[in-house]
Amino acid sequence: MHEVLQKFFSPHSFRVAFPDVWFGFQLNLKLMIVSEILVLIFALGIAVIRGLPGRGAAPLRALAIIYTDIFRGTPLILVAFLVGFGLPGLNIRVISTQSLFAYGVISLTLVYTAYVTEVYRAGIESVHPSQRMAARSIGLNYWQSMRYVVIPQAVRRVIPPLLNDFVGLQKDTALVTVIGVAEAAQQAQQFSQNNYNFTSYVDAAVLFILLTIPLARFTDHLIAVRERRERAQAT
Amino acid sequence: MKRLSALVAVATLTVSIAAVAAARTTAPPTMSPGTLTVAFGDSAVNFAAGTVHGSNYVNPKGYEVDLSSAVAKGLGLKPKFVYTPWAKLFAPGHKSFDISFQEATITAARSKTVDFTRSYFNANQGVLLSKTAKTPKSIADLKSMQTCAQTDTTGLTWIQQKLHPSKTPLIYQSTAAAFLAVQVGKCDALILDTPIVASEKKAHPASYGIVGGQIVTHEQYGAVLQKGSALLAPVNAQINKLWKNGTVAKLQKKWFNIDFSKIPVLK
Repeated sequence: MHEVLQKFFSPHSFRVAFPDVWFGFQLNLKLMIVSEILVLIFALGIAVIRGLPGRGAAPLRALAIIYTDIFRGTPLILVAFLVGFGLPGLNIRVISTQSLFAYGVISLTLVYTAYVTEVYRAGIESVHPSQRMAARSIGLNYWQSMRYVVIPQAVRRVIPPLLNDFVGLQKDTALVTVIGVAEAAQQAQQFSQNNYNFTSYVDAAVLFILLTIPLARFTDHLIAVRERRERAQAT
Repeated sequence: MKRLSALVAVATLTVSIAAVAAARTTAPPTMSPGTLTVAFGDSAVNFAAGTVHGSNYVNPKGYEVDLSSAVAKGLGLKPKFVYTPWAKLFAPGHKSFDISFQEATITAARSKTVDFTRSYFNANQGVLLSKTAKTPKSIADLKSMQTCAQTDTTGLTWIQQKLHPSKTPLIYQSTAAAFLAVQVGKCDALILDTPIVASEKKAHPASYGIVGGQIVTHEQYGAVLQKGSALLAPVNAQINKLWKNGTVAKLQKKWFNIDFSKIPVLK
């Protein structure tokens, strides 16, 4: 028992390892913030494309479907290898000369955009068709009805599942360590190997948990607010 | 007098026969009786390279394969080759092999968690350059380059504790990933044991720049056993024998026909 406490929960190692792990964790934070913003923008675009009406838009819809199918089904670690080692290996000017941070962001964005597209799409489809018809009947064109009527309602509904996906994204930033990014998990691993103590992993775990708990509570809060509002409307 | 010495000779003979017989009957304690489970890590050209299927090494070839087979034969055991990842080789606790040959340098820190056999190879650290990197003339030149290393290696320790480069070194989980990073130019200079990088360069000359130098560290490779393993003494006796009877020299010539002294030493 003492052995377990010493190897996993040594207060001394916790303090010694913390600065390095925190240094690495800042990179996780940057990765998640940049990726989250990009994911929010791209996913909304692709979700809208998937909902485009008419035969003319069929090729665009097909492209959107192919993209989401491929990247929702590919493990992030494979995408990270393909992007982090594959793109630099191409020897093409701009594409091959980015920083590892950029390749990390690209991998995370490719995979999570595919997930979040589906979340947005569910939101858009949950808006009752009568809303669109009403919008069109007062003279708004397709884009205007999406912009002012459908999307605002859809986004509000999907905020809780969106935040849920972001918790996943935050944790998965640790996976890009495989392409050599010196983030929290890698810093923790180094400390562990130099000192034969696993407390550094607990350091990293604590940081990730501290980040996700507030997000989880905020999600709960949003769900509660929406429920209250909808009940109020029903009475 | 003559009778006495004859008696002594007979007595010595009997004792030594008894000793041999005892050695034969008390086979060393291995994981599965009659078999020496030998673990290799990521394929390292000329040391141990082969295909990994699950946890089995299919048809490995190299210096460590021949050497471990000779050790097993000396112990009266059949070798079985398995794969084990480098990243957890020195982690304390239960091992899934009897002995592992992974070009592991014997260090005091590592000896806290595992047992090492006596050295079966002596090496320095080599600098493998990417095709686009400029050849460093000194250690000072190396400082400004993008270095990389494999996790938990003496090369990484050297970068962090001696070199203090201006750019954070990139750290990879496997040798394969580190080599790939050099191939695609993400890393200018990989610091890893000279025989490993020199063999890799020789096997795939078009993929890399030159082995641009070596750093004299006088490292000794030892095979890794579980801490407190009863196999340590018998295995050491075998390795001693293989050094003495010239097998080690013969195998090193067979697998590493590279003159490491031709690689310039960086200071």
